[in-house]
Amino acid sequence: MIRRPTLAFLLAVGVASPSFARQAQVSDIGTLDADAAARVYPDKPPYSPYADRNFPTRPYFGDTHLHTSFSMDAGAFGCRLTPDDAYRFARGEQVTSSTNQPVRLSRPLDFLVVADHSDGFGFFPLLMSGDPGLLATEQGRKWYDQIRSGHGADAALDIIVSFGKGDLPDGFPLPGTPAYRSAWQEVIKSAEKANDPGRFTALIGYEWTSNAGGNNLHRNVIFRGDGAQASRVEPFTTLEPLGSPNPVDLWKWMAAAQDKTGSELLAIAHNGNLSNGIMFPTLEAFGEKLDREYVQTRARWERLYEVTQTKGTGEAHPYLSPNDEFANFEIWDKGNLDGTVAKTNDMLQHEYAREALKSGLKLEAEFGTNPYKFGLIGSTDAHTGLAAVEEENFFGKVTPQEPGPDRMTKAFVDNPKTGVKIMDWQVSSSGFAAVWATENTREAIFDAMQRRETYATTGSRMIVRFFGGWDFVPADAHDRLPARLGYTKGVPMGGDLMGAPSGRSPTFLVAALKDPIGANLDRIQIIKGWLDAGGQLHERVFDVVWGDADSRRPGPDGKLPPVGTTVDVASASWTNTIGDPELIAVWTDPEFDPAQRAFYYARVLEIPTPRWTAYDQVRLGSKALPGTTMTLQERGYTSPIWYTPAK
Amino acid sequence: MKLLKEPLVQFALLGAILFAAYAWLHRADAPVGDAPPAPIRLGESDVRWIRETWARQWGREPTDEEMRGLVGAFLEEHAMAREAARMGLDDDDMIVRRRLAQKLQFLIQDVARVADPSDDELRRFLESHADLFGIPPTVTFTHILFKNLGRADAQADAAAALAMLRGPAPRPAPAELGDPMLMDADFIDATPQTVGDAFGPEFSRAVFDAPRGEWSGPFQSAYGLHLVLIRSTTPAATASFETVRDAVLERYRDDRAREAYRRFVAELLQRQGVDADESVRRWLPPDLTPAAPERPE
Repeated sequence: MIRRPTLAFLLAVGVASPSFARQAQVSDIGTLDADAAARVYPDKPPYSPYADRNFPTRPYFGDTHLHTSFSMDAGAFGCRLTPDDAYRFARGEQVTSSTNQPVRLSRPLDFLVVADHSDGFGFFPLLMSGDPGLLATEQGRKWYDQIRSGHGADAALDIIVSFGKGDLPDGFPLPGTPAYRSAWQEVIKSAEKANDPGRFTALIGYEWTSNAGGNNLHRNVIFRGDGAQASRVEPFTTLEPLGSPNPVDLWKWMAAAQDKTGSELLAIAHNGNLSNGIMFPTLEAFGEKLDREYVQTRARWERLYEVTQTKGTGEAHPYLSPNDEFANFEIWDKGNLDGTVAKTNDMLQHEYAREALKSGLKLEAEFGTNPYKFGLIGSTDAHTGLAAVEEENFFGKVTPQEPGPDRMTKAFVDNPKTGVKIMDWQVSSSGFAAVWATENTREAIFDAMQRRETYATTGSRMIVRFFGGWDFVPADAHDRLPARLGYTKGVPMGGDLMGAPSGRSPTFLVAALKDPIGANLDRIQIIKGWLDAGGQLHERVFDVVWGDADSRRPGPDGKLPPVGTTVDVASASWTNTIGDPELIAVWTDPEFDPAQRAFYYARVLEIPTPRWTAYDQVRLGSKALPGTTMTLQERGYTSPIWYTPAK
Repeated sequence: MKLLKEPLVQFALLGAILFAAYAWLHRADAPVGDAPPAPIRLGESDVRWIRETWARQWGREPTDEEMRGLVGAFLEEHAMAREAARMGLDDDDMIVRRRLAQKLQFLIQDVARVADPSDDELRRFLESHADLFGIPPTVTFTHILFKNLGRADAQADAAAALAMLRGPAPRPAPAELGDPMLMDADFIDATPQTVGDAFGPEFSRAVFDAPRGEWSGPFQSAYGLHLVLIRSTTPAATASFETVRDAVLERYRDDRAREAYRRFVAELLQRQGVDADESVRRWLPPDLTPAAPERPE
């Protein structure tokens, strides 16, 4: 599904195409080099703005994972914002948060998926309306009383725990009931209203929240089509017998839903870090041995993974990647989602994206298909209706974590029995999904997701390009049109390289531009993972290009010194006096073996900046607990490019 | 439903609801044990409703015996509910309170939404919300970046290049000047948001203000200094009413429902008044003047 450049496009870059030549005659930008100028800068662009630009020229930033009061836990936590509010906010309008605070984004987002939990859609409105059936149950009554007595957070956690155990009251709204249907219709209606092709995209979706035993196997399901199509089905849930906690059943539902709606669907998993070792299985899943069908079906439906969000970042873990000095970033590794089972080290290999990308190579060697051939995105998973994850404009993961004097000192998860404790200050102000789509429409964004031409950021809107091919040369990094070159000579992020030409190593054109209102860049790294002839998996992190290069060189150990810091925590400020605004390089794999499967992805680091906790200290006068992280290096992770040997 | 489109009728409806709510909220003012309440009304329609509900559930008509039982249950429920309300048992019950408030909220919002505005009204709404529906201005331009990095004086280099571009022929090609950049050199039909997302809001403003048809600058962005050639612009335009009518109507209804509810609540609170203890007055909404509730004569 990788879109290869067309022939016309090759012509446009290499030599002046006929249309360009014609225009050169009416040039008014000079005579001496009119031809050269016309070649690169046609005086008059074609009437159609999209002609000759059949590749994406800018990334669209959005959130594929936002909850509103329609999610039962969000409602219990006190969220009162509806999907309508969420879309208005994402489009740049000022709204009033559930804690009665005015809030607005620095810049509008380009797209948004309101992804409320499919289990208990409409549960919260039902509970709070005092539904007699629900309140006749012991649990319903207990939650209701907790919420009305101001212990909504306890109720929310109890709901999550009960849900994880499949222990829910009678009267819980299930697909097919009027309460359920009307909530789903509201979600669809909201998206239809907010969708504005070319300017803002509202994709229809929901979260399938498989939480068996408290272990997070959540997926966000997204429709390519419109409301009329999505209305033909009701979301898949996890409660048996109507639903199932097994992803295999979700994929079956997706196949059926695709037939029934005529709309394509995709699923994005998230928070393997809270799955306690079951997000990326390598031997068996739900008691069944992995087989050809499992790997093929998973690869079919799950082409993206959400690698960073408010509940931590799951790219890499220091235990798995001891040589990666940047692996220890916003890590949540204490236990599963509800804290009922503590984490052990043997679980980690099945939880983190880099390790899964590696396992995928091995599974591909075994089954012929790589189930973990996923691209990367970030999203918020905020339960506030607010996709607000800039460090200086962070509105928390759940409503009680909206800005306020207590939000740095309380515990988010605290299970004294297992010792699993996560503090509110550990909640991450992250992330966004960047999508290289050809235009801002449901179809184009969905298609770009399907071809994995995406990257994750931890909240920054940096621009990252990553191309792989066999013919990139160092001079390409100085080209005026690196993107055209990239698409012409290679494949973009998410793509494939097959069967190396004899004696050649893969080359990569990688570039990043800082967020125009954000911090400079520290460095770009390329992370390689591969499977050797003996069946062993390896990884290595390469520093490819970095800021302040005139004064900053790798030491004798090959290690690049840190970029330094300009952060003043006391005033929550920093300056762009270190690092570079733009980095670009061509890199060739120095240890390539054409017989070995491999993947490569880019990681872009910004210079250190204040974390949301530092802004809180300054603006709210709150005091951080000892050990609170106060600075961070925001980053971007591209989808990988895979190399597969010829058969 | 044509009548419902009339603003006057809408207003009257809202007023009627307000009055009903007001009357209901004050019904407890009558001391318990006053004149006996009006008898429970059992009409033909009630009995029909009881019969149909039962039939829907069981898939057959109820027998006479069953009907008598159902009517008995209906009367029992009503009698009990009325007595409970008379005794004020609903007052301190959050379930009842919230359910009633929610019912009224839906009612108000539905009434406000049902109200189909006239096209004239929608046009006025479109005018006052032009930013939401308007067609933003666009600019088609070429830019040349001069990075600070690797230049002793980017400002001087940019100025020199500008002089060459504006000077007599032969002039250099733009592609020979400045530095390469990841971002395209050409932006086609870009909106202020597109340019702002790419280079920052200040740069976007500068580009939209720059003269057409000639090189100008340098303008500062987050990446350095840019010379800019504005090739063409299109002004901001109001969207034609016909093309955006549906979206305007949706927004109008949404805003109307929100606003109607907000106003209704504010008015209601103002009318009923809040008798707050001194110590808790600081928690009252700022626009609410605390006062003893006014009592009807």
